[in-house]
Amino acid sequence: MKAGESTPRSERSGERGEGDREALERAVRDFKRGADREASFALLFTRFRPRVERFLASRVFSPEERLDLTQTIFLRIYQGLEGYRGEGSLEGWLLQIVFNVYRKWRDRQPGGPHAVPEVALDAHEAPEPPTAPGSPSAADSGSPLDQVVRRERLLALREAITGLPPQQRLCMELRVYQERSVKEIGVALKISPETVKAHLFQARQRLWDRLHGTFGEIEF
Amino acid sequence: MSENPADFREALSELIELAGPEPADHPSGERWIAYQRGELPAEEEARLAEHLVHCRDCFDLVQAADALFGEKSADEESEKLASAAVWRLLGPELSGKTKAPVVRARRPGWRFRLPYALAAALVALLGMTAWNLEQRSALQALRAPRANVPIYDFSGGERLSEPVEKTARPGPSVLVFHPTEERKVYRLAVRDAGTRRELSSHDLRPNADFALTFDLPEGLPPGRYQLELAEDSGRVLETYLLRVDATAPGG
Repeated sequence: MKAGESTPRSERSGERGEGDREALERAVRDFKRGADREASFALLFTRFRPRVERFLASRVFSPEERLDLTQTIFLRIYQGLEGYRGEGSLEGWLLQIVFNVYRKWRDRQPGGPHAVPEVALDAHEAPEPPTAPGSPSAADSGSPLDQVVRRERLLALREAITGLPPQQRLCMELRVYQERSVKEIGVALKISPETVKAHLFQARQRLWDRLHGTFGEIEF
Repeated sequence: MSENPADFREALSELIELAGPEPADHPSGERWIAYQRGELPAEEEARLAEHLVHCRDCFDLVQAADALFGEKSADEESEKLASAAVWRLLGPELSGKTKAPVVRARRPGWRFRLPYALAAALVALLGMTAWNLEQRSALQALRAPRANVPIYDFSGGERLSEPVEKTARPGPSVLVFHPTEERKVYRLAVRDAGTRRELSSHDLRPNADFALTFDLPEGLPPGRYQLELAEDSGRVLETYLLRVDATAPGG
């Protein structure tokens, strides 16, 4: 394994172990049977409250809203347990509840579900980027010459990106396209933030070597 | 040649968009949990990683999967104790007013169960609200402004070989560290500068700006202190000196 890369989760999952999952599933069965509901739900609550709050901590800035969301999540779990049929895994069910409550809140925020502006597929409908002095004016962007130049740049970029190792490319695409933090990218790709930074640095270097004649600056 | 740095980002975004719209077939939560645990075959794992580039919902879902079912954090056990304490307030509210359903050979119809379900939901709502109110008041007490609490900044690179001693007054203060090396968790040891005896140690987590905040509501008694910032393994990353002096000018 390369330095900086994380240990596969399958090796670490032993920490939580099957016993952990079984204890949770037993608690849910007891809850549904009506046997000591308080203790059964307490197990779920104490086990997952810190983790729910950990997930919300980096996304919901207001402590009051975090409390509200945590409350809503556990209320949904409490209400849903009665009807939970065990068709999927308990963990998948809990994850879906947490995510749905969070998504509903996220979609109500200013900027909506996708705060990152969407890029139009049709080049003619794409909004014009602000033009720097000396660069082609907005009026020129629709000219046949400009379209050719633009297509050439896209082709050069595609070729340069294809030459990147997959992890470097993914790190860069998540950073630029999704505008995600180094920490989030590390979680998504199961690598450490330090490794993400190294991948981004190397990707920038490689792209600069190949594209500095096409793009004046390569920043991400 | 384009000199606008935004051009590269726009071109890359356009390229990704051209590769295809946001996919409609999203892996289930269970698949993402398996992905996070490394339980999937390499090809499927690679396919799911590609999916994350195009799909913001799944990206957030995988973050949630990691938070809920990933590795334990260093302070999770103490957080569980805090949760248990909260539950002691909330639990009786739920159980005291909710009757456990009697197990029958045949389950009664939903019309019969609906009032019980509604009552349970109402009690749960009341309990959660009580808990929320209590948490809010505790939060407000914690966030209550304390007048003129001095803040002392310690920037990375101020090592003992080049001692930069900061002077603080006794009383409440806040120490803010800006370490050079990024870690998930740091251990701050407060030592007597003369004897190097450890007086206390604390786990600190960086905020979004990778700064560490250490609140000293009681302050430190007058004396000279050595503040050691170490990583998880115990390796000392940075060392700072702090002199607490009652005669020092106000911070």
